[in-house]
Amino acid sequence: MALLKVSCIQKNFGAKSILDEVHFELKTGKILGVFGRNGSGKSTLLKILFGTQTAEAGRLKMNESYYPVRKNIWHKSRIIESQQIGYLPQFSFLPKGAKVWDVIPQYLKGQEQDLVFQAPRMPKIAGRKVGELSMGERRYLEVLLIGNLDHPFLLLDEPFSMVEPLFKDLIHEFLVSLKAKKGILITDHYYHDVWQLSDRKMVLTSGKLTPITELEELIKAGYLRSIN
Amino acid sequence: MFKFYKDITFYALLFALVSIPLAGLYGAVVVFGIFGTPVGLLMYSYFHKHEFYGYYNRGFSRRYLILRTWMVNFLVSPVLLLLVFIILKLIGFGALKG
Repeated sequence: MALLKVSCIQKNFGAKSILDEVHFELKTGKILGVFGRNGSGKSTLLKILFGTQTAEAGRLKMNESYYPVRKNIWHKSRIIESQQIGYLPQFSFLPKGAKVWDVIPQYLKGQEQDLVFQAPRMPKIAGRKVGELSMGERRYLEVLLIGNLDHPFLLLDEPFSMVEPLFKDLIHEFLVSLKAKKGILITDHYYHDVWQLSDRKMVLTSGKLTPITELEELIKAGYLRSIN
Repeated sequence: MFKFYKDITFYALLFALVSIPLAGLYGAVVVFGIFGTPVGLLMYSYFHKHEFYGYYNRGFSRRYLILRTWMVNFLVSPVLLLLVFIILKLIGFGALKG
């Protein structure tokens, strides 16, 4: 079992503190759901953990190894090179002009490719260009590619956003199947899906990450007006 | 990683081609070897910025990708210089005429 320990993440934009002493733990086999309003710093936190965004302070500990956050753009990104953390950004990152069956071998080798090629719905889209896929198909493909890489931890930024119900269900099922071997941090405004999937929930308000156990606490935190 | 190299080098070659009228053939090769990769990177960052995340997830940092591509193109440029030299000599000797 692997453990990701995040401590004292501090991020300011000018005089404004976006993340203030953020800390949490994530074990493989668990899904952590993070809720928060737009601009609360969820995506910034994920990028800092992945090593593509700088921060004022903070560090990660994974399996007895320490990884300080990048404090400036010249700082080497040890997190990316360690391949301990996979990250699904909000936006599509696959080359639009490439065919799906050409993209898959760039990510996975040998028989591992079958995990994507033989996943539900994939045979139908394998021959198409990435740019021709629907939003749901593309997001599903991206989740499959990143999820099947060897990282013990996975950060997912809005995996369900703008995704049609059919593919939302497929992504949901895939993430449940991944849970056995990975620790997953997920954030999305489709809060019902995140709530259902996650074992632990936290809400990010005023730069602080606070644990919650009841949906009503999202109202108190100013994230929801009511529960539908 | 090869796709990244191909994408950057495409823009680097394009920049080198455009520089021929100003720098000449030899100069264009030098432009390719030294300035081609940074210019290619600028173009890549403009047109394919999000694709970096695919490489990051496979363990390639931006620094690694850039340095590798620059190094290869820098090492390739003397070979290109030699090729240009040979082709120009052959043209000079009339060997490549009809």
